[in-house]
Amino acid sequence: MYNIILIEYGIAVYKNNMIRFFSFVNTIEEYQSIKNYNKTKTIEELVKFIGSESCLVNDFALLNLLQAYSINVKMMTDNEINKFMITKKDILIDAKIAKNSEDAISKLRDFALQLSSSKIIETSQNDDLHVIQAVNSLDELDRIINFIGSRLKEWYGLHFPELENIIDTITGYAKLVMRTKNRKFISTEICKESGFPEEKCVEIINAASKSNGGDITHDRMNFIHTLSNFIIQMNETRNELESYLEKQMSKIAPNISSILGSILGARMIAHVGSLRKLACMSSSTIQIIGAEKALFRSIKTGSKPPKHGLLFQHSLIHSADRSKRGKIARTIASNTAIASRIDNFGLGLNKKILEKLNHKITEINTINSVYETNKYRIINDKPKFTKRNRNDKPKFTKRNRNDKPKFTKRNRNDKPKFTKRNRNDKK
Amino acid sequence: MNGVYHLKLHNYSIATKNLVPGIKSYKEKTIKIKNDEYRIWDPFRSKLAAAIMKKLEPMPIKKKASVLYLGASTGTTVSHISDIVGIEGRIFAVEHSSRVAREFINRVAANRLNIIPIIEDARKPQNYFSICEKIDVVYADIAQQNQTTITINNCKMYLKNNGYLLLVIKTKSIDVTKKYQEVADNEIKKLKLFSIIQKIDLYPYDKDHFIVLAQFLQ
Repeated sequence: MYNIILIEYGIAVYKNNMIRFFSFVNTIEEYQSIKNYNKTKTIEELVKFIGSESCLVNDFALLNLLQAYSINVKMMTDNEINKFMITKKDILIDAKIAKNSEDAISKLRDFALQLSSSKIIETSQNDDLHVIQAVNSLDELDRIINFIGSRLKEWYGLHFPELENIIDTITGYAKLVMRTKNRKFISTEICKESGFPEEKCVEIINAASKSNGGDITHDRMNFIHTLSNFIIQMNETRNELESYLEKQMSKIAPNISSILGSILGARMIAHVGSLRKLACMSSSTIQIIGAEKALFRSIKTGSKPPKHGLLFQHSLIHSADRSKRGKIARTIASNTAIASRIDNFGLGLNKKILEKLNHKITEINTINSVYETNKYRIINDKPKFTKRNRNDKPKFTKRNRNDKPKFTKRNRNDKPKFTKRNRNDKK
Repeated sequence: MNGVYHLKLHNYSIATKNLVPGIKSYKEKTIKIKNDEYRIWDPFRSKLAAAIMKKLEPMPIKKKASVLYLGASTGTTVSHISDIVGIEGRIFAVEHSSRVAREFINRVAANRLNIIPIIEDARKPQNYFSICEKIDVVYADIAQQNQTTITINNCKMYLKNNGYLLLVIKTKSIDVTKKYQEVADNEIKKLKLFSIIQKIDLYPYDKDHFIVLAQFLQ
């Protein structure tokens, strides 16, 4: 009977005393691969050494690996595992990896540091982490563009207030401001260069000649120019990011992006943390991602639970009828759950999901409308609630001012109940 | 107290003697008294400091102790514990999230020789690596719904007989609907293998948080 012990630097074989120690060549890689149930060279050597002897093992992964070689292996009891854990330092010294117990501990610490940092490197190489950063920076860029755009409109509005009402988009506004110094010099050429149609150009020039704004000096205009330049550049990077996201999402999560669209899909992944976590979620959880506050409120107070969280941004939901939104959100969430599982465990694009989803949604729309017409008829036959007549007297009357209030003010002259005891009083 | 210094300056705040002078673990304040450097321990950032401010007695973490720390996070509290236990002590710091652990390793674990970082899930204590002895104190600060059962499993595997447990109970991550006193009492009832010594409400420093000091009896 052998006792086989997996430790950080190798595998030790015990029979009362240590007989053999198989040290790992590439310590961390080999330790990790054994923990992930992969066969390594050391294991093969170990199997040759064991032969037909029966063994006890201290690790579950090692147990599985050895069973694959049809060796008679059993797990140790917890007490035995503990016993070997306490003597880990001695094992290291016996195996001539460490000189003394202090050295053994520092060796163990080195191992822990290296293994942890290799784990960190492994996880930070995931593709979906980059998608998460990209979508978050996209949202933040949008916010910044809005902030500075409204500031630009305010500032340039001092000089040319009418322009704000003519141009809707911030980028268009910024492009025009970039090319003009003073509103008097705005010409049709400048407008066309900034990408406006002719009708708008005429409108702008008309407004510029009649404008109520004050004059603006050259140095102030410079600041406005830098602001608008900033907005245009930001917008360019935003668009690049968007196209990058679409490419990445079709690579990482083709099914999710076919159902939700790439940006919403990326937002969902970003909110959860990773694609794997999203794949582990139930569809009811996916339905209300982003509405946690409302969910907890409903649990606490018993109010209505939320129908949709982030999913509301899906065009099918926010364009739907109020009464159908919940149902559509539910079906989309359930399909997203399936899609994320396919994406994470890697089967490529599956077109059936989208077809089924569309089918289901048309079903919801038709069935619901039939149901509603029926409901409408029933209500028309027997009206349950009647409108209250204006001439009816309300149930509660106003209190008359002359009525005496229930509690009267205490009179100042009334004597208080408890009087201060005088020091001179005798008991 | 053992390794924890009460300063008369700075509104009687507490501090620990820096194990690695000159290196800050986070952006804490430091004070130099004679040749020693002391790091101020903010009770609003660290729950253990809050417990000490609210008179934790006895303080189980002493010099030369070995500590299993579940939920190391960025290592604010861990760095101070490492000051207290000194070079001969040991801290096994378990953290699952690799994003947080990255900061923890770079800032704290790499500089302090008595910290052994373990990036594993606390739900699977059998997967821990590099633990080579029975442990004196388990400090658990994990935001999970079943945090108490996770901690008990860890204690069964690694805690010494008569060793101490410091359990931080985050009532908000267990149940938001019940009152926080009630949740804490329910969690304490689960600690059947332990004798409870002290239960501290961390109120002015942390809202809805408790710390329980218990001794392991097996």
